Amino acid sequence: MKILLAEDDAKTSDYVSKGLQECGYQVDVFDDGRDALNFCLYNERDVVILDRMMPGMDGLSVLKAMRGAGLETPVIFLTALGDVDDRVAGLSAGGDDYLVKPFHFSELLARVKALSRRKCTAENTKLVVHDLELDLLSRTAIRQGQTIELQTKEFSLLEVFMSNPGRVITKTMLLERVWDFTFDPQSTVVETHISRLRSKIDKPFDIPLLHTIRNTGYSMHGPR
Amino acid sequence: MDRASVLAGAPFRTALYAAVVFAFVLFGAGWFAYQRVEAALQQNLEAQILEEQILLHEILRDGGGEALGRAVTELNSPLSSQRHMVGVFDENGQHLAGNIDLAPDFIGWQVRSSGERSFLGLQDGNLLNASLQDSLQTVVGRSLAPKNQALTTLIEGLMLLSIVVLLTTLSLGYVLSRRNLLKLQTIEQTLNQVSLGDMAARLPVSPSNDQIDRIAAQVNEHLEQLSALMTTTKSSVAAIAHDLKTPLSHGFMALQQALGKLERAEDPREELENLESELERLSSVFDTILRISRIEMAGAQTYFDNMDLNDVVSEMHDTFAAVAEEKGQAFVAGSGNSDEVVIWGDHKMLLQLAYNLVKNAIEHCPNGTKIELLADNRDDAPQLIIADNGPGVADDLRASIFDPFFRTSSSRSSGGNGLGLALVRAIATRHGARVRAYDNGPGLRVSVTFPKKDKLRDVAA
Repeated sequence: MKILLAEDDAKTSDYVSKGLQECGYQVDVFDDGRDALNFCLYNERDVVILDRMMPGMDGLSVLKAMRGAGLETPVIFLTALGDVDDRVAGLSAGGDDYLVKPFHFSELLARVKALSRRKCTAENTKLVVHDLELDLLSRTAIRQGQTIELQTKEFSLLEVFMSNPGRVITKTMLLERVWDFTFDPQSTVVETHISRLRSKIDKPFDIPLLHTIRNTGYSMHGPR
Repeated sequence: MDRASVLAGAPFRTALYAAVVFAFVLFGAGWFAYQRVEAALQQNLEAQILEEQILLHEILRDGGGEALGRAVTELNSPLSSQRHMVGVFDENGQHLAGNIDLAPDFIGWQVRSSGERSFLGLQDGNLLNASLQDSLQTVVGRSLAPKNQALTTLIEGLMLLSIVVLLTTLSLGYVLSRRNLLKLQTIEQTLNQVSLGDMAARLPVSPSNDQIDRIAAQVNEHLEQLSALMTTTKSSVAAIAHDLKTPLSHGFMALQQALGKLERAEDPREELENLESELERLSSVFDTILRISRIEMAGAQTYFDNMDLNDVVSEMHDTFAAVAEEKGQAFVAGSGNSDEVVIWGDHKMLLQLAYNLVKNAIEHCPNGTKIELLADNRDDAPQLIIADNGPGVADDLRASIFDPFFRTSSSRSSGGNGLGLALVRAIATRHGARVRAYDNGPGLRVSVTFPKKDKLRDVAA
């Protein structure tokens, strides 16, 4: 896996590139937007991580130039600007994800993994993890033949987990995808709904499917 | 006080202009009046003389030379002899009667000047008329002195008037200018005081309510607002410093403990996690401060659209019903009598507004509390209302709950950063909405009232 990182703050780029290298990624680091763009126009990368504000060329312009040149490489924005408007501007310019500084490395890693494998996700009306089935059309879950009643948010949570089996989904990712909130990452809302979901899909059964990944988030998978 | 500054003052200069203009007008009018009066007096004098000539001729025609002689002697009373002249002469120029001794060498009008010129160059002397009748020559004259006296009085009066008016105008201008200068100097001193940090300094406003007083009153009003703003800013800065200092010192302690544990070859994980959560708290305070200031300063309404507040309410129900239930509270969300509560707004901002209101209620109410969220149209104005029957907020503090970093003593222990409701107010203001907190008897009731529907677009624009 090859990743391009464009970030002008040396500490952040060091922190991110070291972490990614430890996880086995090959990382090319640039501190100037223009250089980063030139590089990725001629070198194929699996994921591009762009800082919003950089000398030479800002992240948004780099992304627009990339998309203009027909490059479909997934892009994650890093930014100190955490406002809704910035986020929407980044995503509507063709960005795939958006991360506000300061962030946990695990948060970035989860997003990089989710993006780099996104291509394989097939459109499906029925999601299956081990013996749990989720019908997206009738919005019902069935485990071992038992139909499980789900509240709106519980269904959305389950959909996110089952579309990404085995992947770590962070709390912030859940807030963004299920609630469309980009604020209050310390909220206990996620925990409450996860615990309710667990009591429905896991508690009555022998094998737990939804696992807590300490300090990072959650992951759904069958017995390994 | 500097006299030059007073003389340069607007009131004095105005007075000076007025005085100059007045002097010109008076000169013109005076000259005109002088001409008219002079002509009238001259006419009058000539008429008197002619009348007397006619009288003398009639006496001569009726009674002959002797009668004329008697009449002239009678006319020539000693009282008026100085100003009244008459004389009769025969054809050889021999004096027959009257107080004129020398026979005239002319027929008609003539002024016999004494050679002196009186005040203002008026010619002194007598106006004489000589005529020939039946070989007798009669001369009648009048002194020009009374006429000159009248004209002199007129001119003196006019000059006195102009001097008095000019002096009064200029003195008034000087006094007003001096008073203005005094006021301006006080204003200057006061503003200097303010710039040196004395925010309590105010300009004096006199009861005369002139332009300077009105400006002073306005400046005072601005100073009042400015000092309120300064106080808020100061207390906000102090509150920010305090709020950042606490997690910072907690984090510092955790770091010290972690280092201590490392030295003892123990696992510092717990302390490092504490440090991390304190840093996260710091970061979230900064995020919220930035968010509030960006919402307050934002200009364009890029993501505004017509939206139904009921959607926000049902989203809150989906999100918080479970959370409230865990805390043993009942969270009821619904719409009043309205199917649609449409406003012009930014959906995400309003989600956050509602989120903060509900979260605040859930956090500050004990179990057993009922919390209600409602969207409704009241008097055509869309409203979002959250009400609880919890402990509420004391009357004197209720208005302050939307201030940044405000916390009641009971909420201080909870983990909030004191910015949640400030963010609510910032978002509401951005939407032209008003946030109010009421006593719910018992509990707290907060209403967010949006602009009436017909005004939606105006507010948006």
